[in-house]
Amino acid sequence: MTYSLCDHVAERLALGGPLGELAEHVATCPNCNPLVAASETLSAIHRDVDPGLGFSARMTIGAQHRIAARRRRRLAAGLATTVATGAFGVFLVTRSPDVPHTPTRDQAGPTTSTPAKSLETDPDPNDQSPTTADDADLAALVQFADVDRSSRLSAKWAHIKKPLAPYKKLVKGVTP
Amino acid sequence: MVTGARLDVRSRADARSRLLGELAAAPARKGYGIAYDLLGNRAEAEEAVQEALARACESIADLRDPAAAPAWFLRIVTTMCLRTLRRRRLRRRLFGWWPGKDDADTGPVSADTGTEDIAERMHATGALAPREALEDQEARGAMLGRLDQLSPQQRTALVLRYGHDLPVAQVAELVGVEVATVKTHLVRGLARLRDLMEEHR
Repeated sequence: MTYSLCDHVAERLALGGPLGELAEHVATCPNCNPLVAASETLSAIHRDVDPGLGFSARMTIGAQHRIAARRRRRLAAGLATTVATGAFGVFLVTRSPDVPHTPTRDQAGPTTSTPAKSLETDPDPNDQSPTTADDADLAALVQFADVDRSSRLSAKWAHIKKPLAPYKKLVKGVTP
Repeated sequence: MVTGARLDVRSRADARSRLLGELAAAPARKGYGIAYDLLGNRAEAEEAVQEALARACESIADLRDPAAAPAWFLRIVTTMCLRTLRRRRLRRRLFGWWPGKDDADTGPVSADTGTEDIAERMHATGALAPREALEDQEARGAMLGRLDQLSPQQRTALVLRYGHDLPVAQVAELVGVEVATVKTHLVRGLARLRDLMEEHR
């Protein structure tokens, strides 16, 4: 990597050393001449500005206000965090135990055995009427009923009634 | 134990107020000078100095050598200024399209060339005739406007290096970067400034 004279000028300007032997190049170069001019103009930026009367007092009071405000904010944030943590702790301690989850029809999938299983999991010792076979029939009926499907306005009742036909025959003439 | 803790708190509070008193004098004035040249207006410069004072007092525990407090404070001031410049730049990018919000409150040029400020400067630069002082002020405003188009790092490096005539090593210390990085900012910033000046002509 080779440095051109312009690069040397830029570096010399950055470091603030005298241009020395590069002055000749600067005088003729269309790149370096305005670069030096720009650096000279920049020095005009600086002003020994007078901050006005009572500057120190203003700064001290301002800083003290900021420190106090920040301390208050920190305190409030700490308090809020404590309250939130406490509320969460109370919720954890006092919440009711989970109700055993019964899978819905959609979650259980298309098999007919799942609702039957969920009915079988809680056998009532005093219950005398339905046997396991009846439970299976009941589950199948529930499956056929398919409430979601039949409650739709566009439900096709011919399709819904078709699988229920044998059961309909069975209960014909029987009054509940 | 409790008494010891109280004493510790009290001594820390004492040290804090002592440091605040110490920094609010000469170092704060120097910091104000830097902040004013970097930000271009008085209100923001005072904000930066106050914020730097508050931060210095809050993190007094980090200060190992009390003799280094002024330099440390100036570094915080520079960081605050850099943060303000970045915020200003972001605000301009986000809301620059908004009509009527022509940087009246954010840009240093228009804020700096307010009539009160000009009158004050004319008094301050007593050696100059009012017309010369006004021209000088306009030239400074134009330069600040051009500097506003540079990145905050380039602007900071240029102002500290050429405006305050600080050596590159000290600029690097104030900005908190390597010397080589400052040199890069200086070279690129100067080149960009030259282009902006050429465009203006």
